[in-house]
Amino acid sequence: MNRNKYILILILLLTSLGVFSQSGKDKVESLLIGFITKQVNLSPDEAQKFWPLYNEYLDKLSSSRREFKKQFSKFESEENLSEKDAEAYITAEINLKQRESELFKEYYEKFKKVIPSKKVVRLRKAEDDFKRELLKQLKGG
Amino acid sequence: MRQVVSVFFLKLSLLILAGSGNTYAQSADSSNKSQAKIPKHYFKSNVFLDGYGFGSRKIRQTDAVSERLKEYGWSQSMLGFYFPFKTIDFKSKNEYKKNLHLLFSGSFLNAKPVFSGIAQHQLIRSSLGVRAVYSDGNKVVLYYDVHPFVAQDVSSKTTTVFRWSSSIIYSYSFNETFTMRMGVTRTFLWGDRYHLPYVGLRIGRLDRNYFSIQFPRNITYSFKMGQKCRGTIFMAPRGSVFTMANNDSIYAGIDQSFIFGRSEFNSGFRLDVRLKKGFLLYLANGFVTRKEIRFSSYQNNQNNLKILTPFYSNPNLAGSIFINVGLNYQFGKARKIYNNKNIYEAIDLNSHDGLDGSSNGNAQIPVEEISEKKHLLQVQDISDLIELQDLD
Repeated sequence: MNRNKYILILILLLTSLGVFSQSGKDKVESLLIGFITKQVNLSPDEAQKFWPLYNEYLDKLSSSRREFKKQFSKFESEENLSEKDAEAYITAEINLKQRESELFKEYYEKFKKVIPSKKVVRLRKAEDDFKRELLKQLKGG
Repeated sequence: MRQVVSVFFLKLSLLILAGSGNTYAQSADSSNKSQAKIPKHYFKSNVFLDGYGFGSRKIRQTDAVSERLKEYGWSQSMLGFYFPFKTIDFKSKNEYKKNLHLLFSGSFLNAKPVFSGIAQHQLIRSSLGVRAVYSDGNKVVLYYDVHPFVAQDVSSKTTTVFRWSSSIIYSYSFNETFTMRMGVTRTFLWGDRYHLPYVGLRIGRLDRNYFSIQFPRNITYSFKMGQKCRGTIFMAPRGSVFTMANNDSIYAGIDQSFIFGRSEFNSGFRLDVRLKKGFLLYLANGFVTRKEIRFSSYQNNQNNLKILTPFYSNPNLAGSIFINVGLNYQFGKARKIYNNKNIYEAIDLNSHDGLDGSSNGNAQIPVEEISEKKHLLQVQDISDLIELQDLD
């Protein structure tokens, strides 16, 4: 009886397997991390110090973007956009880009304490290459 | 009054869980110039459901109690949780990120032993505990937990007894692929109260394939099966100590209830499947061997601080097949932990339920992404990453 109950629960759960997958953004992040790991070639000690910092940097980056999106989610369609709203949107976007660049500046100071600047350049290049790779894939190349 | 205690534990757990919503911090490090809010904790909150059981087998031992019991089988379901309530980051001169994580944890277990010769009993165990995990950001993780619990037989009037289990474990990673652990554990997993040394070693990375011996908990070989699944071959003890009503007069003394200790050894295969949105489903199946049940009198063991002296024990129960199904749900925002091996270690230490032996499958450790199938991505997934100049 009890075994039948477990089997029934199992069947119900297995039927829901169709929904399994990481969300797209998590997958991109995992791919990015995998790509950087291969390209930057950190020593074990550098990796122990660098990855917590880089995770923190990514956390702050996505938090800034999330806040921006949250603030302007109501303007998905430009039809409801007044001139004043449009101005606020552009100002916020400029602020976001500025924040992102300040964030990198702040973290560059931290990164160079744990890895040589040469590897920070390799990191930036890996980030760029990753974007290009993704674009290439999306274009079907 | 006695049943109220369990309900109180359950309500308190739910109340604490409901209050764990605020997961953002302004910034862990007050010196940070940017004002972005990042999550407070590294650990996600976790709720899990676990079902475990094995079929009835005839008891072959020949004595009065065995003949009364006739058959022995087991089924149990458990609802458990843990969530972080405090994370402290420490400044370090050597650039490693040291932190302390404090978590609440709790579980409610409902078990039905199947003795075909006596009335059906419903045994419950409620626990509410605290865990502390310190990671030095490099090689060391220190883990401590304490889980007070109360076990009762809700099918009849029983004595309520408080017990507690606890572990303190020191983990040292020599390198990415070799970790050793040492400590002490007060555990009921082996069907009685034992104070045992904890000795563990792991060869291999937690996000890849690894072989692990964690005495007295388990021996496992765990391997990745694609991006969504993980398979584990394991051997592990499973057991606990319950309170059982003496309404079948199993015990000839005056006790209203007695201590029911059970333990068995599971050997089998477990499949973990990561579902969408923080859900993880697992299924384990295999053989149950070295089954043992022990009944001990409260009266006769009142001042006994060592192993309980049973009035009935049966270490020769026939083996059978077990099934274990569980669903984990991890929720709340947590800090990113990619490639942070020290935090992976902390998560692994926290993944084991010290009371029952179940594990949450390390669902929070990111899967190492090796897939080249980037074309499965959607444009909106990467829109944040792409700048106009990238199109040149």
